[in-house]
Amino acid sequence: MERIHINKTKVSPEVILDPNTGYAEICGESYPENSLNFYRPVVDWLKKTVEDKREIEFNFKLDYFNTSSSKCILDILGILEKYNQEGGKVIVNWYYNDDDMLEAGEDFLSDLNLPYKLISSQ
Amino acid sequence: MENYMEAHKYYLDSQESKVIFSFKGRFSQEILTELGSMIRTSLQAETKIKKIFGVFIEISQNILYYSDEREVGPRGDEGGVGVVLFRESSSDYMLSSGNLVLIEKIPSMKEKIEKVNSMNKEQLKEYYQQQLRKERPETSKGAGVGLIDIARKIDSPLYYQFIPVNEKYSFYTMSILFKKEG
Repeated sequence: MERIHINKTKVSPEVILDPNTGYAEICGESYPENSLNFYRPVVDWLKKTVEDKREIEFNFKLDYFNTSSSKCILDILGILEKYNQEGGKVIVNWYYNDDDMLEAGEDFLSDLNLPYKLISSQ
Repeated sequence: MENYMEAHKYYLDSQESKVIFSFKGRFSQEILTELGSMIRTSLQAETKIKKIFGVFIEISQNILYYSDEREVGPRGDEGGVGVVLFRESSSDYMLSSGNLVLIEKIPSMKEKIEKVNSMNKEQLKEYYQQQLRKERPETSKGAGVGLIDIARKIDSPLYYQFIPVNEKYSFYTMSILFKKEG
């Protein structure tokens, strides 16, 4: 599996997925017309990386996301949580640059059985 | 002659406030992006800009996904038809949206809005998380939590109305007010 790099657009974030190092990053704003389609490569990459039993470092650096993207983020976190429970090594870093994004990170992560850090990027 | 008076009527109708933009037509991702940029440019100094932008995206995507008046664009992409109006007065900003809905959908929509309107911020937060964890509504591109998200971002209830159009459709309109600070 090749390294995936999706460039940022006005409505969708930059995405970096490295299958060799298990490094993932989603950076920018997310309100694509069809978020399920947009996030499909991320979900596919995750499944493959979990299958290969790699360590995963997942970095969210989002400035804004709509509700439809929010659902996809929850799906991604769900896969990571499951992997963590099965003994996989996972860390989630949630970068925030304002109170809204901090609260969003807390809402997503506080209920999950998953190691995570909330990091101010200001 | 009447047609020539359109601009004057519009000017008179909007004496009390400034119309930052109004759009009527088929919604698309491009329209959303353009109008979204206008919000960002004209509200640069406004502290609630992020909330207003977020609400705008949700109401516009609601029209794009759920309006029962559909139109196919030149490139074959289909989208919902509706209206979005963004106004500014000396004391507040107002976003209004409107689109046709099938009459049979009204009871369940009313129930949803009333439920959201009856909740405080803490309850909304919980309801949002709970709904987000449900399966995606069938045939929907959205997460089905747009209204809850809007209610979380604003300090007033969601003002809405269903205006009868004909035996099949009603016009569903919603207005959201943002008080200016200071």
